[in-house]
Amino acid sequence: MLAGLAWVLADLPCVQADESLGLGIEASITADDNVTRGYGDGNVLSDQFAGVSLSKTLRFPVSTHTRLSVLGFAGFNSYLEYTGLSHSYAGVQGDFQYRPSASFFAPTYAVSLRTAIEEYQSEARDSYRSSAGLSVRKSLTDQVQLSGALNYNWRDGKSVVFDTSDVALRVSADFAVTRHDTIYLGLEYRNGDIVSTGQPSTAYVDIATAIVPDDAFKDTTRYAYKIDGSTWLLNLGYNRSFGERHALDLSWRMANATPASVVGASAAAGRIHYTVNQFALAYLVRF
Amino acid sequence: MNPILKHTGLVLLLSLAVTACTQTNSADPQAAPVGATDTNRFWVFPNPGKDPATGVFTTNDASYAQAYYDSIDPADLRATLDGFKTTNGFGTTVPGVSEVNVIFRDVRDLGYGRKMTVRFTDSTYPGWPGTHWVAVFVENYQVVPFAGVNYSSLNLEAAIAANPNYHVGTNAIEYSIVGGVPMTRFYTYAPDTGTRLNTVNLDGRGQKAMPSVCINCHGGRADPLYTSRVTATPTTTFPNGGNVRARLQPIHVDSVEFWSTAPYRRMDQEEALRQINYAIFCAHSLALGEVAAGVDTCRPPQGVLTGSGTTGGHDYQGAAAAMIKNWYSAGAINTPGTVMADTYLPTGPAGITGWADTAVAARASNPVSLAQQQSLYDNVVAPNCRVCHALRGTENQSDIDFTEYLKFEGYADRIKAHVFDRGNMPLGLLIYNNFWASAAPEQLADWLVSIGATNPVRVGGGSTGTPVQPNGALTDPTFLVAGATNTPTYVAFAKPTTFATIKAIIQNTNTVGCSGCHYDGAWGVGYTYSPPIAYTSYDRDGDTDTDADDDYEFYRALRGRVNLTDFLASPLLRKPTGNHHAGGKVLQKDASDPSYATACAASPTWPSCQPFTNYGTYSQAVYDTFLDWIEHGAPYSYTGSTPNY
Repeated sequence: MLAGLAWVLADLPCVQADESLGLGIEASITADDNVTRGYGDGNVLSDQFAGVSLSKTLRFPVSTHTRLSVLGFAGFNSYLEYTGLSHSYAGVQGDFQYRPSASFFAPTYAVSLRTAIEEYQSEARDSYRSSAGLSVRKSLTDQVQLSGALNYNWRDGKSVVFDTSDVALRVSADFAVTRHDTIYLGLEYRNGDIVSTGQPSTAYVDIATAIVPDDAFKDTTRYAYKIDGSTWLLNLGYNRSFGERHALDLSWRMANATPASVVGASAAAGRIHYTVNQFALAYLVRF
Repeated sequence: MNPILKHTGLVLLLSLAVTACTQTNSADPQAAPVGATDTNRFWVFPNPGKDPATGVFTTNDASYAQAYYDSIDPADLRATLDGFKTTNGFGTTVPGVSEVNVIFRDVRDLGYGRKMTVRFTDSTYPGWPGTHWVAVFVENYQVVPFAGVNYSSLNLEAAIAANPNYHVGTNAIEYSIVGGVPMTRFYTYAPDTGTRLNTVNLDGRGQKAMPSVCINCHGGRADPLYTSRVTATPTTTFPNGGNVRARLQPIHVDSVEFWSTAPYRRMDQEEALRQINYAIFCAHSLALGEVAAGVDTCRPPQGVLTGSGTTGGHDYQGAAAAMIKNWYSAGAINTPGTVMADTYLPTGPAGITGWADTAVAARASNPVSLAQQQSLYDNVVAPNCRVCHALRGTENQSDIDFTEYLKFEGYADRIKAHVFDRGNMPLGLLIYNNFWASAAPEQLADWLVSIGATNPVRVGGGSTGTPVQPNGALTDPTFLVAGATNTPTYVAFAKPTTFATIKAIIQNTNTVGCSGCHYDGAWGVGYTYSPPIAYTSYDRDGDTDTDADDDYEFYRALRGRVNLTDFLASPLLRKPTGNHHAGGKVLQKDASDPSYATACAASPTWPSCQPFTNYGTYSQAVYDTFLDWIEHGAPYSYTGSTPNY
């Protein structure tokens, strides 16, 4: 399949609007205060991880108003303590974009497909992740850009707990404070499966749709629970570019997940939910 | 190539990439299959009373349970859990009656989270201890988060929360003295409706019938139902009015799991557990001849048990009572605040060395040192055998209670058969799994070899190391299916072998002399009292005559001494050949026995063994005739070549 993809790409006229190679490298460090996505005493573990990723974007004009954008990416995240969470990934994303005019304020609509493979140092999380969606991006002013997207995401894991799916609605805004400084804000709502890891507890068992031992954590017996629920994600970041090819990015990402049902012991224990905060510092280079 | 086609191809390939990548859930735990290739044999008696006509295990059939309930609760006062509670006064205040609650997880035996409520009398109750009674109901909780995890702390958490999602059933027991005889009655109720059930699934391996599933580990007997043909339509009733001679199991506080926070920690519940164990202790009868003193004065005497005075005790000998007493500072079980600690090594009754047998340690052939005896007891017997075996045995024959080293050694051949050849001991799935996950199998196998028994098959085929775990009750579909071998015909006895053939032999007091002890004498009617069965002809159905109907009842009772799932394990074969038989070795077929060669013609003792030449050949013929009968399904008679059962 990949050979076929390469063969197709090789015969298409390719342009880069900014005349770059479309190649990006990112190195980051992230602190995560709840890598288990857990709730309650003894279930919330924190860790840090370092990441490196490489991406390449190709764009192919299709017609006056349409083009195809293909993003290939690969990377690795290495966790400091819970090494079972360390993983490599690789994937490809295609966006078929439509822009009704060349006006600066004209919106860009896109239909996208994305798939990736993730290989963890533990086994249960090994997955294929896929996504299909619609998106729109539009500049409000020369400083403010808004975007929105509706996606269906699904994950096919080696464990049934990581066979998940959800529908996600996302809006985001970029504020170009100066030519080199951008602040961005994103808000996303997901409805579908969430996975939370915790010690054996009927409060979790009551509401879980699937449970397996979580092999990413060796400190004690922990189960990974798949739960039907919803998640809010907030993303706030600051990007500082240095010249045309270098940038430093500082971001905070917060997620809050809540199960759809509250029954039995889960009710007695208080509504099970988890909150995650991730603080990331990344350095990006584009060629 | 046309760019449009190229773009279309690109989109299709991306779509294919998105949809084509799938995988199986290979990282998930896989449960051991419970299906067509598995058996359903845990908590089934090694002799389940297989019906030769239908193949049904009669003591594991719902009809057996119904007959039991009809006997012990004829007015159906306990047909529901609420009825059971009301009948026993749960929730009411009565002077001299205590009611306590405990919650723990039974780690060794059933694995459930258990929410137990126990009501019992104490020394202030009128007429106590002669009026001592205990009633208990236990809600069982089980959480199975995913395949293969049936027994975890989640069960305890569910019990503490009384989470109805995981309430799998309620067991209930009553102990009291009925007509001068201690009697323990068992019930099981549905978790949702509280309706009494005939069967219960204790281990996820299928339904098992009451009360057999309880008797397995509470002691007592699962005898065949009486089948009366006095009326045109034969009726069946449970023997002995439902008194199966079982006892209450003590709670081994050291091995159960407690929650980590108050009020469910061990320290929070230790006193309640002591009170329960004391109430249970007081339900374990004294051994015959045991002088009640001190704390033991609460225990019922043997005479009360048998109704035949101090010389007629033939019931359970209270092996567990000595153990329970020892758990509590060697006798302080009735002292508030005493904490349970199990360091018990049976010493046996007076003059018996128990599990510190110096004679065994010093014997010339296959000595077993005191340290080896204690190690065997601590690592094999106590954790894997004792919980059930301590409640077995009678005054006639108590070897099976394993309270002495030599009793255990005396079962070496059956231990090998059940543990290593057949795989149906330990009899409970959880204990079985724990046993095979431990070092106990190898220690047990090495011990068998050390005393001269056949070496069990070892992993790798060597003579040492881990024994091969038999399929047995776990996965062997042919388990408990025995096949006839058609032993040779012995012309001295009528062929084909029928009940009449067997009856003639066992009633021949001039030779094997079975009915010399197995008779309906001063101990009551039939096998109401021990020996376990009477071989004499008498009015078994109480219709004032002794006729063919009584013979048929005799036949049905005798079928309880036959094991149609393991022929050679039949008591009818093993007992007279000297295996744990109060009457010793009756069939002298062993060529090493001096009496083997005693000529029948010259014998003043066995004149009827002619025309055989000597005791040995006669005994062998008797044995083979018994075996022939068993192997052909133990028929009552034949019509032509068709057996009648």
